[in-house]
Amino acid sequence: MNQDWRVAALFFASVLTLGVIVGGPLIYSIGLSFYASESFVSPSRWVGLANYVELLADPLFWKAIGNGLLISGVAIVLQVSLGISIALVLNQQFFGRSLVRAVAVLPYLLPTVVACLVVQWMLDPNYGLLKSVLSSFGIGMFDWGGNPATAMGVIVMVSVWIWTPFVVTCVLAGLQGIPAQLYEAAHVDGASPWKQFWHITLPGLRSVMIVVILLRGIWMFNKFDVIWLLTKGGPLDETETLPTLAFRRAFVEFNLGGGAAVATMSFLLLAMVMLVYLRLFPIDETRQGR
Amino acid sequence: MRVNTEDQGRNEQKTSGDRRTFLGASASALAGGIAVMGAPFVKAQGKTTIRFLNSETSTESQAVLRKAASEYESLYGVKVVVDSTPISSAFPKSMAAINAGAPYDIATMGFIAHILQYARGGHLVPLTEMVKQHSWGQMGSWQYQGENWFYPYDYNLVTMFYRKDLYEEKGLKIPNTWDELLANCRALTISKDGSVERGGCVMPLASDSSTNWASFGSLFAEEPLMYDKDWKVVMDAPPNARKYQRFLDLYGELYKTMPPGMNNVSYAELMSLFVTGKVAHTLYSGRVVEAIESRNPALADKYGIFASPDSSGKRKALSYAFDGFIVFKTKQSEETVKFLKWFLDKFYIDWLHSAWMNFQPARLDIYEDPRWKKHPMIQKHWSTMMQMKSYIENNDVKLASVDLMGPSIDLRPCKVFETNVLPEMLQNKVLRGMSSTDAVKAAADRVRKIG
Repeated sequence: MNQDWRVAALFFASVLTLGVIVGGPLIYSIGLSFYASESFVSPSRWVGLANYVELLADPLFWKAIGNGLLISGVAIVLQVSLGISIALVLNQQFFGRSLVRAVAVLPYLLPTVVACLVVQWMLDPNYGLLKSVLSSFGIGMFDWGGNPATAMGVIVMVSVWIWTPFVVTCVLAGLQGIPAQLYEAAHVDGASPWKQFWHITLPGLRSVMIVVILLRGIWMFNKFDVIWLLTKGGPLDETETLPTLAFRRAFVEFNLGGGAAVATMSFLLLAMVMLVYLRLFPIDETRQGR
Repeated sequence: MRVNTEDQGRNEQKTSGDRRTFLGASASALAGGIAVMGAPFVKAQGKTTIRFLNSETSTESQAVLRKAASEYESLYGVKVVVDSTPISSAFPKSMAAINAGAPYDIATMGFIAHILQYARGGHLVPLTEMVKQHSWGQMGSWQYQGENWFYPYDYNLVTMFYRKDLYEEKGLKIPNTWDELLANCRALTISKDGSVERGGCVMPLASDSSTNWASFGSLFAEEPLMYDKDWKVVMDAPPNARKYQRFLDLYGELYKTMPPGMNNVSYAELMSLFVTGKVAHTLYSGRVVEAIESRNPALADKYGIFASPDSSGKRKALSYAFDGFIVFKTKQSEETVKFLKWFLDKFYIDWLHSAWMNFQPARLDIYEDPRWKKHPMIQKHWSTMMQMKSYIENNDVKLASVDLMGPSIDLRPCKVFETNVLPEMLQNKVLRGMSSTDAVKAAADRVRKIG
């Protein structure tokens, strides 16, 4: 009974803390979206749903959703496929495996600002490493920041570089949970490595992958720092996503209510996608037919 | 069994004792911590503390502020806490401080939109009386609602820096028209492997403040209007539309002489491309001279500056910005104004010397002040400084800025600046390949939408 009381107290304390930390700003932000205000120090005026009406009629909003989906989608596919491949290699026995595993996680430890600056320096069209390399082959440097495709490509590349180690770590942990006997039995039955991967490894990683893809999806769709540091949503809004649009509206264009409306729509969109995703791919193993 | 029970009892006692010791120690540590954290607060209750938000982050400028703060405290017993932050985060930080109920007392500020918002919100103390005591260059003593809210300390004129040695080598003259400017840039461009190895010029293109600040001097020389006297948007109406279109045509041609990466060029690159010899012209304030002296002194006698010409050779213009001090309305505003007056009296020259060429004085009397003039670098680059002074003193050269377009000082052009309407007009021209007419029309529509 005493134990039950403690559990309940801890539960409610956690809910209360989360409510204050997450719920407070969320409610405040939703509230802001119903006002017209230039900044936090300017007078504000109730406008009801006007910010939402304006936002839904703005082609940039839809473009930002499309860009966010494209960047997230491509980055997640690359992160997951590379992450599984690297984890499979790191799961093998070889000399120096611990060291290689540690090195493989290193990019994840890099501060995003540092990673972005390093990439910018390497790709600088006038002084960068890539320019020197291309120049040695007699090839001129391209202007990656002035072309929508290359600007988006660089954002995806940096995202893959930094966050693939997260996938590697999760998949590696998942691989440890697959019983070795399954592989031994498959080997005895003459199953090829590909069939072992397809029929044992992938199903064994299902729960891990559901969580990893969910988390990576949320994080990538909400990604602000990499995009802002590398392209600021340019050129010509071609890499603008909802987080950068929300920031731009609220803090650059002096439209706090408009920025809050973007953030609220982004939250609703993500919440809906997450609910559908979890409905399609329940994390609970008993509901996965395993 | 008995022994075991005794042992168990001793263990329980020991565990209980450990817990008590731990809890006691934790409580003491917590109480101690609170006391230590509370001490300065309690101490501060009896002493005035002025909080200064500084966005001039060079070590020299910060050192001047630290020294002034220390001297002021020892003289008057008033503590001045200096908090330095990059200029890009000065507004969010000062705004957050107001919302948190702990506003800064004084700050350096450079963007009119931020000052206007604070003034409109009733957060600033007018500095009109202090500003009135001096003569200022063009626009140096601008007012809003009949008051000066800002005590400027520098101009950041965007002059065109050029390489004198390269001009001599090619027999070029300082351009008086756009055609001459374009011809000079073309003559100085060197291409290799299909890309520009040394640019004729650099005029940023990115959607940021550097483009708004630096790229439109030649446009301003044409004196186009964005709004009429009633704030109606007229940039796509004759004769303004043609002026914007002509400028876009010029930019399109100049762009071909620029090195790659214009969409990522910001303040730092504008300087470094010139200092490292990657471009023959750049647009920047006096900070380029400081960069030349510190990174490539060999260029120190090989550069010159000129104002941006118009298309016909009749007018010159410079884009510009300025920085200054603002005083927030707090319970100790009076003490803060007193501090600012003392600082201006005792440390203004040191402050200006901390960025000797970039802090081009806004107050005209400073140019006659022997304390300011004696700085060896100012003496060395005296002719450049005097040329810069002539731009703010005479009305021959028009000083203009995107955030100051319109019939009066207002937040509307500030929003045009912040929303990067004009940089995106350039991008539409050179990256999207839009015609100049369509690019101007698109920009005008955006300005109308902004309101």
